[in-house]
Amino acid sequence: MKFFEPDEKGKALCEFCQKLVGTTFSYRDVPFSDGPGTVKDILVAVCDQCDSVVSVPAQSTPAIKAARETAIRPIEVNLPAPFVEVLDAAAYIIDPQATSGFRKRLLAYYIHRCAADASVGLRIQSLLQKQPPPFEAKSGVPRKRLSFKVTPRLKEEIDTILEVTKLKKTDVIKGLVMQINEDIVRPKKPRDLAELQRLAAVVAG
Amino acid sequence: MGFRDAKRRVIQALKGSVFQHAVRGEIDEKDLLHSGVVTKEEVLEIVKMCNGTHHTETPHHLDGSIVVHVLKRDGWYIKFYFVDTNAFFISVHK
Repeated sequence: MKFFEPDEKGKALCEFCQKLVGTTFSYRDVPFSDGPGTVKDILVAVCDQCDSVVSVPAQSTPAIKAARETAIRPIEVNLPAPFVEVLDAAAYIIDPQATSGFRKRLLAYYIHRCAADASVGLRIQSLLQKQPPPFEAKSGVPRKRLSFKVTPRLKEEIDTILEVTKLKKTDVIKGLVMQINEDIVRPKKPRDLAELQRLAAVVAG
Repeated sequence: MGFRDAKRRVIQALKGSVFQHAVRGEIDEKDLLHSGVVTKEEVLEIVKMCNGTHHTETPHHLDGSIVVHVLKRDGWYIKFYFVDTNAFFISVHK
C-alpha cells in the first residue's frame, strides 16, 4: 500500500480552478457534504492555487468511516403527550434512576430490534391499526416534541424500517412506543427486563 | 486508453490502495468507497466482473485530455479517471 505523506506533491483536477493543478498533501478538517459532522485532521491533497481540498487518498478512509459512525443526525417527531409518557414510564420501570436521556436509548434499542427483525415491523403495523387507536389525541390532549440525535447507523435503521413498513416516521415511532407499552409498561413481568436494566446501567456509566 | 487498459490500471490501483477520491472541498457520503461503506475488495470484485459492454468513457469536462471511465454492472456505478500514474475515483455508488 502506498502511503501519501504531508508536503508530498501531486496533481489533480480542481473543480474550483476548473483545471488540472499542482497539489500538496496536508492535514485538514473536511466536512461531510450532506449532513453535520467533520472529519478532523485527515490527509488530503490541497490545490496549490486556491487552497481547496481537491482529493482525499484511500488511506484517509478509515478515519472518514469512524467520523461518519459518530456524526449525529437529528430526529424529531411531534406526538400526543401520552406516547411520551409511556416512554417515560417504561424508562422508569427499567431504572427508576434513569435520566431523560435513557428514554431515547430505549427507543434506539427498539429501532435496532425492529430493523433487525421483520416481525417487529409487522407487529407495529398491526398495533397502529388497532381501533380505537390507543393514546391518540383527543381534544385537549397536548402534543409533545420528541427530539433526539442518532448516529448515521441508527438513521439507516430507521430508513430501513420506513422502507419495509411503508409507514411515516411519526407512525413508526408511535408503533414502537406502543410495542414498548405492550412489552414493558402493561405486563406484570416486563419483557427482557434484565437486558434492558443492563443497558440502563451502561448508559448511566 | 481503452477499456482493457483502464480496467488493468484501476485493478492495480485498488489492489495497492494507490488511489484518491476527487472531491470539492467536502466528503461525499454517497460515495460508498470514499465513506468506507464498501471496501476496496468489494469494488475490485465488481470491476473484475466488468467487460467492455459495461464500460463507457468521456473526456473530463475540466480537461479534455483526461478520460473519465464509467463502469455499470449489477446496479453499481463506478466512475474514475487517471492523472499520470494516479487513479482518482469520482463516484462509487449503487
